[in-house]
Amino acid sequence: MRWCLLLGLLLWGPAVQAAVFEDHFAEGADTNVSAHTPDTTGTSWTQIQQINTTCVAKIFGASDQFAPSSTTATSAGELLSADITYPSANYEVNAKKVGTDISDDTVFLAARIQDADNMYGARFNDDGATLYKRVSSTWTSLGTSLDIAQNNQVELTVNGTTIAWDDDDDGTDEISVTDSDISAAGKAGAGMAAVAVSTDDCSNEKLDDFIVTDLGGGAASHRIFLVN
Amino acid sequence: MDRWFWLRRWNTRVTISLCAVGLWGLLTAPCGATQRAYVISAITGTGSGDDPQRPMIADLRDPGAADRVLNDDVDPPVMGKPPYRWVSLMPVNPADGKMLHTWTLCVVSGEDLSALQSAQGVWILATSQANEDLPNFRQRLQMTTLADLPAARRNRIKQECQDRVGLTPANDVTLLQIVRLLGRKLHLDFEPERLSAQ
Repeated sequence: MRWCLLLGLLLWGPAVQAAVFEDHFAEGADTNVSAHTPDTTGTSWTQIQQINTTCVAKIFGASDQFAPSSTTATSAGELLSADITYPSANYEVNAKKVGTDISDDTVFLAARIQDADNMYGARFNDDGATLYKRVSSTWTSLGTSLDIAQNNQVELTVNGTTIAWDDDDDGTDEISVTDSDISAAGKAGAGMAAVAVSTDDCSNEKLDDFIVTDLGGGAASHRIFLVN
Repeated sequence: MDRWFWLRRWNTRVTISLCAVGLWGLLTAPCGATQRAYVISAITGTGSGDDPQRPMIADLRDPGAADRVLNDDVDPPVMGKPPYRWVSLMPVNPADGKMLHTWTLCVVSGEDLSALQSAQGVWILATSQANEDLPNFRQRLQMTTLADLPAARRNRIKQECQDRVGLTPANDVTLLQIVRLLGRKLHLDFEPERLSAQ
């Protein structure tokens, strides 16, 4: 019986879900993200929004991270879409928050980007996260969390009418809300600084290990093993 | 030495490590007790990125939280209390992104919810006990009917429901059903467990 329980526990785990886009930002030389080809899965990154030209998202060859091109640019930023054909409108956008920064020095993850004026997104740094939607260019805050540790895997989930944010990818969402104003798959995305708030600055905020996982038609499930 | 000796020894080490981690967590945990509340809030904001549409509770500060840097662009940095953690149902008109309603249902979480009580445009439907998590809070609301409340509070809830959804609930309606009733006015798919702020 003990062996059956042990076997059951070992085999219990999340169902295998397909990464539809995956990028660890590996580059030999300094490269703007808009000119970078995803290193694992995905076709390209496309600029959706540019706020001032003093700061863009850049991969520095020495660190292989999604980083600001300038650490002193104020009221500037960029949002890029992660390009691939998305199998469904239900997916998780996961990234590692590697930079440490506070106040108005922020990074941004996005989902269901239809265009620059229509998307869900999360603006975050060490202080916490604000979950947004942008519909017909109007920004609406849906919720906030507090405190995100360095190197946390953070996750923005769009699954049917559930929009959720997880500060630490522990399976418990810090923010979860029902919303159906943007239902088409669109694209996931990543950005930094003044994407939502025009006075946000480029500084030390960085991302790594950007992975978009398709959730298919329904909610995430688990494999269940029956042991006699 | 029997065949399970190393496994037992490894188990002992794991147990001691977990106890040490737990003790460290207790010693370093914040002193405050987190409380949660279901709140009806008026909405503010023009919808620009700098002034997004948001519930008015988003601008309140948690008096029970520790001070932190709010603005590091000036010298010395501006310190102050952080906002509450919150989540809110915010349906908008797809044509222009503007709010469909003048009010919203929120879950608010913080160390000291007293700022909610005196805030303009904010009405507290129910407040959790200290450190009561959301699932337990909802369970308690499921077991509490309007008849269990003092008359003044019961009548206020009935009046709010009448004003916002055009229905006056009977005395055997639970507080969780009130939450669902108000939420479904804002979104047809609403269920209380799908609105959470930790």
